[in-house]
Amino acid sequence: MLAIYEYLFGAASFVPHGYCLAWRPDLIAIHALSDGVIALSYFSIPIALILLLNKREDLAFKRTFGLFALFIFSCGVTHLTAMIMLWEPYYGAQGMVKAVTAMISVVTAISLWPLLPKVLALPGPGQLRKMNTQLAAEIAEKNAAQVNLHQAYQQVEAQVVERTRELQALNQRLQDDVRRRSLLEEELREKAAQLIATNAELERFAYIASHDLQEPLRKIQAFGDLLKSEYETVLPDEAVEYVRIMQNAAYRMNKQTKDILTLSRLSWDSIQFDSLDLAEVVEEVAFDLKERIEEAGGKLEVGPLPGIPGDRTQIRLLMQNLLVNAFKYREPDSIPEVHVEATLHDTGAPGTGGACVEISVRDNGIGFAQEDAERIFSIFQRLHGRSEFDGTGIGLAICKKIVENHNGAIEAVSSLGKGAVFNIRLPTSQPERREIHAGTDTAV
Amino acid sequence: MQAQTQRYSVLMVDDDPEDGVLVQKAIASSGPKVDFQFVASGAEVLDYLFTEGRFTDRSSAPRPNLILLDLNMPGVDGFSVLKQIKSDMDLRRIPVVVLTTSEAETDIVKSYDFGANTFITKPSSFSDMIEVMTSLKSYWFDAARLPTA
Ligand SMILES: Nc1ncnc2c1ncn2[C@@H]1O[C@H](COP(=O)(O)OP(=O)(O)OP(=O)(O)O)[C@@H](O)[C@H]1O
Ligand SMILES: [Mg+2]
Repeated sequence: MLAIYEYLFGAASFVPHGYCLAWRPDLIAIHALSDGVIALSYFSIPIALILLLNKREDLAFKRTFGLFALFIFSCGVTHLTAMIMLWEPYYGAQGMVKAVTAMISVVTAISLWPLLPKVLALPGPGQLRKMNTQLAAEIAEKNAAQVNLHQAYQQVEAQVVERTRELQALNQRLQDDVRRRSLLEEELREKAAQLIATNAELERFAYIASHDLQEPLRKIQAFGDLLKSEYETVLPDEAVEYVRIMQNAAYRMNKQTKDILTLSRLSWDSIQFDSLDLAEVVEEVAFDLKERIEEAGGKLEVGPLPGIPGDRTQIRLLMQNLLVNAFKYREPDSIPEVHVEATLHDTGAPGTGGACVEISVRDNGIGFAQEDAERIFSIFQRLHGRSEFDGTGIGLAICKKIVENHNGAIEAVSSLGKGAVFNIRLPTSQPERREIHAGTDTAV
Repeated sequence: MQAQTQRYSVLMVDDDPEDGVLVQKAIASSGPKVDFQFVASGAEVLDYLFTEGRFTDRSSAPRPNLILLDLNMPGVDGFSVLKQIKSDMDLRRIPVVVLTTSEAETDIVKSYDFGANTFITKPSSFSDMIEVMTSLKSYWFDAARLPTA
C-alpha cells in the first residue's frame, strides 16, 4: 500500500516540472493557467453532454456520447495533473492518469470508427431541411386533399340538402294529391247524395205531375164523352170524328200518366215481402185477361209454379204486363200461345248467388231482334209503332223496377218472327221488409 | 117499389163546379129522376145542412137523402164536414159517399174511420160516371132502406 503511494506520489528523487522551466514566473503562469483553463473547460464539456443525454431521451448513439464524455473528462484530468506537476513531482500518478486517458481514448476512437457510416447515414441539417420542405409539401398536399375532401363533402351535403328538398317537395305534392283526392272524393260523395236527392225529387215530380195531369185529363175525357152522348146526333160526322180523335188522345195520355204514376210509386213506396203462391197470382191475372185471350182464340199454358216471397201487388203487375205483351205482340193470322213456367235453382240468385226461382214467359209472337232485348226495358222504348200495336212503352220499365225491388233480374231472349221469352230470376228468400224510400201514400 | 113514388134528393159538395155538372148529367141519365143540389165549399154545405146563412128556407134547400162529399177543398175540407155530419144526432143518419180524385189508402181509411158510408174515386170517363151514379142510386134508393124522416 505504502509502496503504491510511494510509486504514485513519491517525490523524493524527482523535481517538479517548474524546475525544468527554471521557475520562470511567466512560463509557470502560462502553463499553469492554460492547463487549468483547459481542465475546467474539459470538465464542463462532459457535464453538458450528460445533461444533454438526460434531457434528450431520443438521442442516438448514447453509449458513444457517454464514452466521449469520459474521454474528455479524462483529458481534463490529464491537464489538471500537468498543472499540479509544475509544483509537485507526482510523475507516477501523472503516468497512471495518462495511461487511463490513453485507454479511454483508444476505446473511444475504436468505438467511433464503426459508427462513422451510421452517423453519416443520419440526415444532416440540409437533408433535414429538404425533408422538411418535402414534408411541408406533403402536408400542403394533404391539406389540399383535405380541402378537396371538404369541398366534396360540402358538395355531397348540398346534394343531400337538394335531394331532401326535392323529396320534401315530392312529399308535399303527394300530400296535396292525397288532400285533393279526398276533397274530390268528398265532392263525389256530395254529388252522389245530390244525385240521389235529385232523383228522388224527379220521381216525386213525376208522381205529382202525373197525378195532377190526371185531373184535367179526366175532364177532357168526361166532357168529350158528354159532348158525344148529347150532341152526336146533331153534329156533322167530321166533328164527331174530331171528338173521337181527341178522346183517344186523352185516353192514351191518361193511361200514360197512370203508368208513370205506377212506375214512380214503385220507386218510393215501401215493399212488403209476403209468401205468395205464384200459381194463384198468375191465375188472377189470367182471369183479368180472359176476354182478351179468348177474343184472339189464344191459349195460356201455365206449368206448376212455386210459392215465392214477394209483394203481391207488384208481382201481379209484373205478370200482368208480361202476359199482356205476350198476347199483344202476336202474328196477325196465327193463334197466340203463351207458356208460363218456373224452375228452382240452388244457385244463381242475382247478387247473392243463392237459391232462386226462374220464371219464364214464352210466346209465339212476332218477337224482336236480340240487339233490342235490353233497351225495351227502358221507359218509353218501343219497337213498334202505335198504328201497329197500341202502347206507351212503360210496361217493361215497370217490370224491371219490380224485379229490382225483389232483388232479382229480368232478361229477354228473342229473334225476329220467332216469338219471345222473358226470363226472371227471383231469390227464394228475401229480407223481412225493405224500405225503398221513406214513401208516403197520401194524395199529393 | 117506393123509389117510383118518392122523389129522392142528392146533395153534392165539391170545390170543382165542373164535376158538379158531370155528376148532375150522369145522375140525370141514370134511371129515375132525383133532386140534385150542389154547393161548392165545406162551409156552404154546413150552412145548407144546418139551415143557416143563405139556406134558411127549407123549400129551396131540401134535406138530402144522400150526400156526395169531396175531400180536397180549400177552407173547411171534406174530413171536417164528415166529422160534423157524423157527430150530429140527426144528420149522422144521412149516408155520405166520399167522391174524390184521391186513390190514397190513407184517405180511404180515414174516411171510413170518420164514418163515411162509401168511398169512390171519380171515374175518368163519363160513361163510367153514369155507371157509378146508376149503382149508387139503385143501391141507396132501391136496395137499401133509409129512414123516412
Ligand atoms: N212479347 C213481346 N214480343 C215482341 N215484342 C215485345 C214483347 N214485349 C215487349 N215487346 C216490345 O217491347 C216494347 C216495350 O214493351 P212495353 O211493355 O214496355 O211497352 P208497350 O207494350 O209498348 O206499352 P205498355 O206501356 O202499354 O206496356 C214494345 O213496344 C214491343 O215493341
Ligand atoms: Mg206492354
